Amino acid sequence: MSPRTKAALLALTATIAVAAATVPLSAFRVVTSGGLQLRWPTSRAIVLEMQLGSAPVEEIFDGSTTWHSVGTAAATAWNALADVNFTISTSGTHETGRGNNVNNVFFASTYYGQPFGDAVGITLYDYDADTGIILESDIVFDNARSWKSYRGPLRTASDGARLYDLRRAATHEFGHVLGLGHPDDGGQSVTAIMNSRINEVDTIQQDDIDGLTAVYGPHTVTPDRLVAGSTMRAGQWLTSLNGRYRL
Amino acid sequence: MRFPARALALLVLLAPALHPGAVHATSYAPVSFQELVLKADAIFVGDALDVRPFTVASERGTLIKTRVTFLVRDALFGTASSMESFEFLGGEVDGKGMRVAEMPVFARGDRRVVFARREAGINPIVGFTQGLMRVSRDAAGIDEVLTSEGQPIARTQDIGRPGAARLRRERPMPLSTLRAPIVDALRERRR
Repeated sequence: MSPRTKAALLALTATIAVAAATVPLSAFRVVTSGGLQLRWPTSRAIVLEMQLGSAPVEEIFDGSTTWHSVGTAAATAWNALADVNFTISTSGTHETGRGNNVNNVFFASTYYGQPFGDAVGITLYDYDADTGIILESDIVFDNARSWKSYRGPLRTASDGARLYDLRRAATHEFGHVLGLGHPDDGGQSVTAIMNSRINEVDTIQQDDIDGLTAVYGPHTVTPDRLVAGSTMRAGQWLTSLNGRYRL
Repeated sequence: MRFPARALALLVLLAPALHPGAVHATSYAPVSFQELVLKADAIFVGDALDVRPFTVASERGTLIKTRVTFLVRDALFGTASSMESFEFLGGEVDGKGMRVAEMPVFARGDRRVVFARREAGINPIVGFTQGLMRVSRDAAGIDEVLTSEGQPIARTQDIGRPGAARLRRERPMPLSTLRAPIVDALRERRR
């Protein structure tokens, strides 16, 4: 082997090694308490009482006309990624409250009387301490912040304060509702909507889906729900009825 | 076509910068070390002496909170007491659990550097988790500073960037060297 070929091979090997080292590996984290993974039962849908406001709001930026529609889009983006789904209730009959078995989503100046501090939105779980099964989860966004809904890089308001994107903040909080934690708090460097620091990532990423799959298993679609033109997302597969084959 | 070895070597050097995942992963607005010091009402190194969950009635139902009492080992700012107590939303009482996603949790004996606010709230820690640093003793008996999740902090600029020191393969900073930048930042605060 000539010295030139040897050098070229060495460089190629090093390129592959460096590229492999920079590929973000799965880094998702799940929320635990006392060693128990917090999760919802997969036997029923998670009903969200969306109380962000159905009155028309001007200048949300992304074409949405109400905060309700922004929250609904954020929640339903998690559907069909695993065997757990959100359904949106707008009954308006449930008051916000703790321990009422209703998953309230709303704006407020405090979290049930507790100041937000540095948090922008808070997700709190009630769970069975013996099983880790989540019983209720309320999500509250700080109404003292400036909110809009937009995609892409973070923006600032005219007074120089951060202009928060409710869609990405809500997508993040609904990920918490499902039991996902912050991968970057564990020192991981990965692209994820679940990273603790708000950044330009505004949609669910592969690492987030991997986390969801780890908690709830892969999303299964029964043949009767398959329709012409169906597309498969990353993390989904088709399994034969006898379970022996997977595509 | 022959591909020169130099070009390949150049590609090796540029590979990390070209990878889109690596670019996106570091873009967030951290709470700076200076902000941690400016916003804190109390800064100290302490050991969790008691971790006690309790229920509290709120305007909209019952909440569970956890009171953590620290034995103050080294008072750096805002405290002259040998004990400091803070309350965190969440905990477990009588088989019922309440938890805020990513809220710091404590066990008796945990040694922490604490940057805390006095105002009652969901979480007294400045920057939610950034103002809480784990202290770990290495094999040589030197206390080192880690994030609350156990990631190394090699310099104060790493606060808010928990993966930074690990990516640089640097050792955590000794606890003894954290005092000087805190004192410097406090001097700026008093001006």
